[in-house]
Amino acid sequence: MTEPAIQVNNLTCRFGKTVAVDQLSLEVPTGKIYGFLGENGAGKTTTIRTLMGLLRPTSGSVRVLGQDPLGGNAPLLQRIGYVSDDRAMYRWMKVKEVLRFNAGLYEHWDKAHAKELLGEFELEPSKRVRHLSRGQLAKLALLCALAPQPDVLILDEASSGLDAIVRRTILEKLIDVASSRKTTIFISSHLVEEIDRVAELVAILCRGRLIVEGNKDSVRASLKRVIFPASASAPDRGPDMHGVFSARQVGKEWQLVVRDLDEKKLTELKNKMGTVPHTIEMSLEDVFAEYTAWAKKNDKDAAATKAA
Amino acid sequence: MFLTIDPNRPLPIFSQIMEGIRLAIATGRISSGERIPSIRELAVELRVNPNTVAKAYQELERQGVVEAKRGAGYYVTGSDSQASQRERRTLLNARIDELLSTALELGFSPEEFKKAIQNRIEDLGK
Amino acid sequence: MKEAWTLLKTQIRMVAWPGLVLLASVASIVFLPENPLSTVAMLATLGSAVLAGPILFGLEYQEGARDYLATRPASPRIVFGWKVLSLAALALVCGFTLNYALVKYDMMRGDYSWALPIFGVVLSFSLWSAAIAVLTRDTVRGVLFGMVSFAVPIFVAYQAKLHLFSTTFRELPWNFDKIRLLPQNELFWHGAVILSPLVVVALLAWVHEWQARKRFSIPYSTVIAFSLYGVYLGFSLWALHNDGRMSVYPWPGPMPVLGKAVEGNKLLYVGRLPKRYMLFELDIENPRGESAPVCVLGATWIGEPQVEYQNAYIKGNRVLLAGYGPQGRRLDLYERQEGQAKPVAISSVMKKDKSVISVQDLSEGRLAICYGARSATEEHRRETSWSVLDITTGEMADLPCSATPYRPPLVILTGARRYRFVETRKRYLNAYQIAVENANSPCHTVPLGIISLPVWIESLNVAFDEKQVAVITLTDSLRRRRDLQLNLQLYDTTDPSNVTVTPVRIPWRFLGAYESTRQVFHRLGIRPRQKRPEPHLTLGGGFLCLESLQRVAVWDVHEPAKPKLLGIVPTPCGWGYPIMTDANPAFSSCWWPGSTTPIERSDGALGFARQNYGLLWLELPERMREHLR
Repeated sequence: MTEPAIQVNNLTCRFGKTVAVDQLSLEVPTGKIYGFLGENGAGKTTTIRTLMGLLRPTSGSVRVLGQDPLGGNAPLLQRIGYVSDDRAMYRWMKVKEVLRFNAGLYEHWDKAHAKELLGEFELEPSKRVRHLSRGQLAKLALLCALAPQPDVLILDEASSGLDAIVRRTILEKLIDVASSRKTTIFISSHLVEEIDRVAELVAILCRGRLIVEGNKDSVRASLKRVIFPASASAPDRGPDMHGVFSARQVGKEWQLVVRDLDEKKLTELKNKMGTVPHTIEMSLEDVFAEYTAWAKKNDKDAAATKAA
Repeated sequence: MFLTIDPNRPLPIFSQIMEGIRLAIATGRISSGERIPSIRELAVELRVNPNTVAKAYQELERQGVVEAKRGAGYYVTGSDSQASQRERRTLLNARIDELLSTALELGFSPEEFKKAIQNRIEDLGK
Repeated sequence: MKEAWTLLKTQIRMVAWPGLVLLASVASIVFLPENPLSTVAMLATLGSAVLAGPILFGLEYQEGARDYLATRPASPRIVFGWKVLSLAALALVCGFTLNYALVKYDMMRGDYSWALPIFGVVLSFSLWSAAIAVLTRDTVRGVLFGMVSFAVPIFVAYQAKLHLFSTTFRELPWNFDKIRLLPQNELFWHGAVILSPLVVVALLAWVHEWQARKRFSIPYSTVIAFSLYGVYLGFSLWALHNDGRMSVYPWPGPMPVLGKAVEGNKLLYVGRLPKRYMLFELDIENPRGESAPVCVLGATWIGEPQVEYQNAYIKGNRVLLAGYGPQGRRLDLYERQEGQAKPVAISSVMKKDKSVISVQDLSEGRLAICYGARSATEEHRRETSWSVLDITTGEMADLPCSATPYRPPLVILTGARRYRFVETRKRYLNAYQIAVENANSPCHTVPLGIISLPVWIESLNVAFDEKQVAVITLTDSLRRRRDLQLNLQLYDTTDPSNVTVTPVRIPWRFLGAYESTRQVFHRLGIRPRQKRPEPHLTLGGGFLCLESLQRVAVWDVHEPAKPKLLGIVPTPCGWGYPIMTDANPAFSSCWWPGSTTPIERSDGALGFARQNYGLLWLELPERMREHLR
């Protein structure tokens, strides 16, 4: 078994008193598409900056393609394509100059492919970077990340804030690259639907901590919505009661979200509630929302018990 | 080939793909022996993970719906009527299963279910 | 490699137009010499020096594209290394071209010390620009703001100089306050100012690191910059603390002083005013007090042929004036009585047919008068004869001389000893021997002792004392006219038959900057036309002073075998000319003092009376501290 393309071990990033990333561990196997989910401020960009060697971890380690990226590891950077969340580049350059600049830096820059992409993305070579629209800038950033034929693509919110057409274009291009070249793709996004479509593995981050990680389908299936019609008794609200994640009363119904629902749990709940439930699969977006809410609630409880 | 994927549906994406292909075969949009899009083409078109498409194709292949021809892609198996027939039956059965489970959920017995269907067909016939 | 070149190309492009603008403005500032090649070379050198700072430090921070660059597969260190190398190469090429142009086209005559401050300014300016470029993350702004903000440290330095360094000496009257740019103590202060951008850069690097990495860590560049600056500043402050100060007590009026004597706490001196000669009295212990006139000596009348005195000798209440009158050389002895000077007769008449070469103090109020040729340049061809005059009694007697004078008959008298240059070996030029004789013995007798000076001396300067002779020479240590070194040697003639020599080490600080600059220029092939500045020696009363490049080094040589450096004093106004009576015309062109015993003040300061300035007080910290205890 080859080593994973990206390996994060107990990564902690602290800035003064704030802990941006707390004991994060994950692995991205080679050739897979990995979705890194979290709301704004969850610590995704910080993690990615450590992957690119821009930030030194307070503790823990990161490895990309088996190497430490810190301090400008040039041979490693040759094999990574990176789109940053701010799409930083020299704003005075023209599109063609940006291409020429990057072509000079990357050994394996594919000129033909770059030209093809230029056409596909409908970018004008003579336009200056500062005059490009958001969508065009994102496409240009992606172009520069794809043209050097990287082994790993790291995308920080590559399609956030863009219109649906651009997002489609970007996504299609990513799929194309993933299928033709077996590139490992690490995408961070808060657009869960897109991740749902394309990722095989996902991780959900909340306030710097990893909440859940694994195969996308299993993560998605880990939570299920269980609807109980009007019931005599209310469910307990204690912690981890039969693995009930959350419970809400809507009218006479109880809507529960249950983690890792199996027959046993279902039977228990049926008995508890006294009515026959009806299980609904959740979308990844719903799962994400539930996990995030749960993590925040836990934090609050922990802080409350600490204060008490 | 026209297929839509809705990630919000409870059905996993690969299952949706399988269903879509089956439907296409069943309704005759794709005929037996015809080539279906490659994994890559379909993945790009649908904007889903290629491995998901691969999984769907592998399952379809296992079920004998499609076969992989070396270097040439995936093709629908069987002769025209066979494939169509087969799929139609599979799909119908699937729908009947769904309906049956809903009925049972609602508290109807299998006899009542059968009765209800017959009544409905009669009503629609008029 | 390819990556580094790509990055460099981009950065060169970024400074292209501001670079051109800068070069053009520099061109308008620089005085354009006639030869175009040297213009180009000068401009390129200056331009590259000016841009060096921003190029080196600013471009990485342009427009916040720092992270962008950090994620490109090019090592920033390699790029930085290439930048430094290429700038250094450019500087070298410019330097050689400049040198070639200057030498070939005979552009620059004279002293190259003008170059030092200009390059100091340029270097400082470029460092400031770099610092601002880093701060504003913009190259153009860096250069523009650098130019403006550079004025701040210059202003601060100037003010500091005015207030810190000027309180210890009065402003000199009558145009004697030419402050030259050659090294003084202020060199180190200037250096500290010039290098002060290091501190700014150090701080900026730290702040930048903090902002970028959000952690409180000190980057290596800060440590290095700070340490370098700290070391230099520490050294400068130490030098400032240990160096002495000079204060000037100016004479009361634009008059040369003809002679002086110290009696107890008073300094008596004779000054030549426009219409008369006056005896003044000054309280040594009160350095800011006023001189009190004592009496008028020898008035001159308008319209009558005037008597012009050149030397004055004071002993007790007697004053001897030596000079020219309408009838030739004359000596006039006066006695002070109740505020008036009464003439006193001298026992024998001066020899009218001979001229006085020198009148030297034999101590105890006795003077030796050397008669000889009319002009000093011819004296070595003529006979000399000596008389001894006792001021207190007015008696003059001949000092017998033997018939055959030695050549050259240059004699210096200091108290009980007479020094004479006895021989010049003709095979080797510039080889000397000094004979030590008893001052009261007849001339040209067998000397008591011989001092042999080293051969191959390019130039020579000697100071004499009764018991010691100090010689400073520029010797060619390796027989090549490249590494000329200054050597200072002290000969102990207390026992003339056994003359011991002690080398006196000249502190590096004294001549260091000048010497190293000179050597650098020399190795680049630039030979400054100006003669090396003459070092001047003063020896007397157990103190040896070496003056050069507006600094004076003072040694305590009461124990000749163990000379002790007391300190270095910067003399911004120069050392001036000594009072004639202290000088010995040992060499025809040299008027520098032979034996001058400094006036010692109770607080430890040493005073040297100068002909035109006034009284220079050297306040050496070590001595002052000792005297306080």
